[in-house]
Amino acid sequence: MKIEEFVDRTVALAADAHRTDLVERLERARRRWADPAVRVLVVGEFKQGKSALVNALVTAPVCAVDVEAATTVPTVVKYGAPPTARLVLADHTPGDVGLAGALGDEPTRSRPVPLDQLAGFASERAHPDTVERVLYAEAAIPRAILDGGLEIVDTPGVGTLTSGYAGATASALPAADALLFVSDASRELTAPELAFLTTALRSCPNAACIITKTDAHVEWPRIVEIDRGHLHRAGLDLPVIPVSSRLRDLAIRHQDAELHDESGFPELVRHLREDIVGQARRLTARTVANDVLSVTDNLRAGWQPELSALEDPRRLPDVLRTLEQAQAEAQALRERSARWQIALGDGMGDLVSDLEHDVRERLRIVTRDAEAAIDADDPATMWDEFGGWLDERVNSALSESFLWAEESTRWLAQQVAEHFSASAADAMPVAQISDTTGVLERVPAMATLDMHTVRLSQKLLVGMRGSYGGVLMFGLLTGMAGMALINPISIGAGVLLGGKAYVEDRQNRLARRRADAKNVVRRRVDDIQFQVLKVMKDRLRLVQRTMRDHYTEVADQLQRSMADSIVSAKAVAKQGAAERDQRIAELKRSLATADQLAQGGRRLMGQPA
Amino acid sequence: MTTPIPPSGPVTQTAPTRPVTQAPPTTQATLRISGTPEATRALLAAAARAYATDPAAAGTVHALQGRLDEPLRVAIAGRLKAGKSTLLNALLGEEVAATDAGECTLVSTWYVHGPTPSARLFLLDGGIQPLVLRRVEGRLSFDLAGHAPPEVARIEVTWPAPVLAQMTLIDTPGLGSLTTEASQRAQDLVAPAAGRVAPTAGPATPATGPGVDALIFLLRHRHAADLEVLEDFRRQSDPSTGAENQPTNVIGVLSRADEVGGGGLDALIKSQDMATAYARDPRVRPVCQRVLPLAGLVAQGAQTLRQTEFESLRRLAAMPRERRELLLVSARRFITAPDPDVAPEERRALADRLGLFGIRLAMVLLPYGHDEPMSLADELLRRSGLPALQQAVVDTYARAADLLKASTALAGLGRLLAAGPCPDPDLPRRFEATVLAAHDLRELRLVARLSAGGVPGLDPEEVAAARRLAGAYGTDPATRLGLTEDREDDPATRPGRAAPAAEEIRRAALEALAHWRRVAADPLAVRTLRECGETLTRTCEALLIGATVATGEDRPTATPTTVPPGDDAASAPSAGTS
Repeated sequence: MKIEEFVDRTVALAADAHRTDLVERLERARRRWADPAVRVLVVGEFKQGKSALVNALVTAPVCAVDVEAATTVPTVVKYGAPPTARLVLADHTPGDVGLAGALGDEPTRSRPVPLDQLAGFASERAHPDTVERVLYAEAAIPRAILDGGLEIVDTPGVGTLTSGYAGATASALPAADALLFVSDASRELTAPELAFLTTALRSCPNAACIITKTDAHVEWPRIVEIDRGHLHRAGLDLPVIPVSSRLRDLAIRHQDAELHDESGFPELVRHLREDIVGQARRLTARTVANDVLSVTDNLRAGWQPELSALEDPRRLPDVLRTLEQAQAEAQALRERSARWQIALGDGMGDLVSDLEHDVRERLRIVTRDAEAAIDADDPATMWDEFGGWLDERVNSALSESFLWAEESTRWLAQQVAEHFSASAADAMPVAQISDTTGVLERVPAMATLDMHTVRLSQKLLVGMRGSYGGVLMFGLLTGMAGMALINPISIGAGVLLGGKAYVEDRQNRLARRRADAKNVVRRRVDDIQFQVLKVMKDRLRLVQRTMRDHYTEVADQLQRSMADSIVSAKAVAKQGAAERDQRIAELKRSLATADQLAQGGRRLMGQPA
Repeated sequence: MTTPIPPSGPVTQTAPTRPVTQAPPTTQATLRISGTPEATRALLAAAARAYATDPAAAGTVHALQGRLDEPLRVAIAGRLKAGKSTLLNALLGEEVAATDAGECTLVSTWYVHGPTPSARLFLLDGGIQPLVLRRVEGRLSFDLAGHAPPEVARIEVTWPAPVLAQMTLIDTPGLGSLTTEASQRAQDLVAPAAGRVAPTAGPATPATGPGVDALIFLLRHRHAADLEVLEDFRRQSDPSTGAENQPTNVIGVLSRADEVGGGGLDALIKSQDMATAYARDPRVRPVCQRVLPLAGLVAQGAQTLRQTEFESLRRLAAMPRERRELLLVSARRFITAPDPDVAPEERRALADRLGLFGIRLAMVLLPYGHDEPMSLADELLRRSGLPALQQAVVDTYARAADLLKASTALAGLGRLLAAGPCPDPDLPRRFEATVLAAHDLRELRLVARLSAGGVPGLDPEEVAAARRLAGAYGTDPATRLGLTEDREDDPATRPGRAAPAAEEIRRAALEALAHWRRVAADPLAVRTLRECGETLTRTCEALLIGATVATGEDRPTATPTTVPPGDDAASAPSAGTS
């Protein structure tokens, strides 16, 4: 049975029972099934062949490939006919969001470009010409592989000298459904690569390791073996897929099936289709099946007592008593004083205060390090890199914080779910908290630092001002001894004092620069902290509300089912024999359908996800 | 297969190895403008006396002194699998160090010069054990005599290669490897973190700083982590504080140049462009002024090309083009696909020795006149970039070995003095004076900067003259002033002409002095150019003094005119200009 049909039949059943609340729930599940976007991030160190891999996958030159220049702007490749391409631009001043803000929220501004020129905007070569800040490039092309809702994102590599790109990649990780981690066959995995992979997997556990450029390296099977060993020792049992983008291009150009097999792409495409898209579909199917199961459970809970009361009127009082007891329990779950409500409220309160402390603590360390760096060096010489460094440190500190928040929320959700039946807890909508997407969007850009640089004329003036006093002082003193105001002694004193004034002025300027720089840093961190705490609290509150609404809805549905049953069971007593038989047949039919649907749902659930 | 090592000399080869260009013997001409190596020795002797009561500091000083008498230590460093061992083999001219697709250098291996091959194992606990030298298919293989790599400080291999007579080459484990202790060991050797004892450098303390005097650093891309290591090395090995930013003891190598852009025929041209771009990068420049491309595998293979390999290559080249192209489509196909003319095993051997790029290159070279083993090997070698790198190593390191060692020792002494109050209050002052007076160090920096094209506003002829004058080709007055050489690039071809008369030197020095004074005084010139002018002005003045002395005593200038050691004498010649 197809999922759509399956849901439709359940909707019909719930509609027959006049249960609009259950119908609404099923409609939500149907919408989730209809929107199949699966986002796959291609990540790894720079110059490992990520862009070439994406190009070879979609057999179109949509990403920039170059010997030396690395990718700087992410490119999103998705299905679309006719083919189109656009650049999504930042509306605000540079320095805040990267890929993150872009991929998450609805972008602010975009500009269509010819598809064949898209690659020109995405690499280091492009930057000087494009005045606007490109958040990401997007290509929509008609390719069978993208048909199932697959979106492939080529990201800028990590480990470059320009640290900004890497932060953008890290913050986009939680929004991804799967990762392709790319490393080339010229050498085994390195320690920094493995460290990056380990962190990335915390945000997105569905990943594969792709070994590229197998055409150029004789020993690639050894490298694949060694890499498998490294991954295994690190406790990351990812599939390792060796590929060659060049061979795939050649194979397609010459229509050579053997070469295509050698390129390793059939396995990669299979992985994408079955393990990633398929997995995502199975996961969605499971939640849909879960919704169906819970709906049929609710319906049966109403019908079953009525049926037994109809079949044997003498048992009616017993049935009614059980029903009323169940209703009272359901009612208790709805109360504000219900135990799960208290667990949720308290848990959230603790979480918010812990998190606030955590964020403050981390940012305080960043500030301390930044101040130490400023004290150790002259801000004038290092300021250009300093902003980037600071943002990177803040970013990584916050990512940790947000990840921790997500882990804690999951734990809390589990605690609350224990108060309910298993199926109700399973259907809990998953919240994405760790996504740092757009968190810093509203933080004002870092203030510029006044370098207190002075022109030569000003330097002279400072020196002159210092020397003026010296000349006058000593001139007057020596004048008493009968010399002219301007004499060698007074000039000498003037030069000395002038020099001293100049040196002091320079030291003052340095001290002022340092103080200013520290102020800028503190203000920046303060701004960020303010914004981040607000976002974090909003998100947690949203999670709390989602959870509360979800479980309240579950409790409502349960209570309504019980109430309906009581009403219909009471009605049984007044019914005539003919009516009763008809009702029995009707109920049996409905129950049989519900059973069938529930069985289908369980089958779907039972499939390995 | 394991074979015992032949008693002496490299293994027999069909193709000739190219000898490393020999630097002129250093004793021939040593007019030292300010004699920093001698001054450093004197300074260290004074330090040894001053710290006699402090055993830790005395140990450091003693270690620094010891380093001055050893050959220059040059480490070949870089990330994991950058091609360090391959480069080492190429520099030695034969396949000695083991190379492999996986990580295989786990212990620092020091190659020192000696008449017969032998090896010793230095343990962390101070023990020294002789090792049996075994060669598996030509490569050395060590069984560490039952010790695990973490217990071993280093392996020292004595080998009769010509290049080792000028410097000790050190093959290091890769940085950023998952075998963390091996990476840490390499890091300790190159740039020990503060407070860490670097066990590889023998009895070293953090104060002695890097265990090496110079680096050949292999880069594949501009990795942020690589630049950090280089920055640490620069900070720890440069005695002058801060501002100079012109490291003379790092040569960057863009390694595995044959793999650039997928190993197409234009790989070397592209890699040359990349190397130039790297060296121009304002983020790379402060830590590494020169970056040279190198196709290490091609270089190593070409140096030891065997007759059988040449035959295979010729048969491969004789194949119809279509069939050959099909074989060369991918590495796997090349070593497995059946073909009647060249057996897969033969092709596998070729691919291991030359790489796909080397084979493609040979296919192009063979039909165009390079159809003799010698000629093909020479052309492959020339294109691999190795001769240019060897030249740079000789120019920058071998010639300036004493200066580079003095520079490292001074940096170490500087750290010692900065660490705490010195028992001899006069020592810090003498240290400062020596560093400030180190005109030869300044010249060395100038040469490095000129070689890297870092002085704008000079035409090529002026650059050549400036390099020569600063002592890039030899430090005797006649060479500096260009009076002895027909070809200025190659000191090996220096004709045995009679040394020029002192009067001639005086005249040439005066001419050069006038020129560089004008440059130094040009108010419109950029700062680097003015500094270049100032440095060379001082050089000319020193030459003039030397020539005047020589004329006065009527002695030929080829005789060393050494300024006596000691810091006071060191700063004397330029007293008028500074």
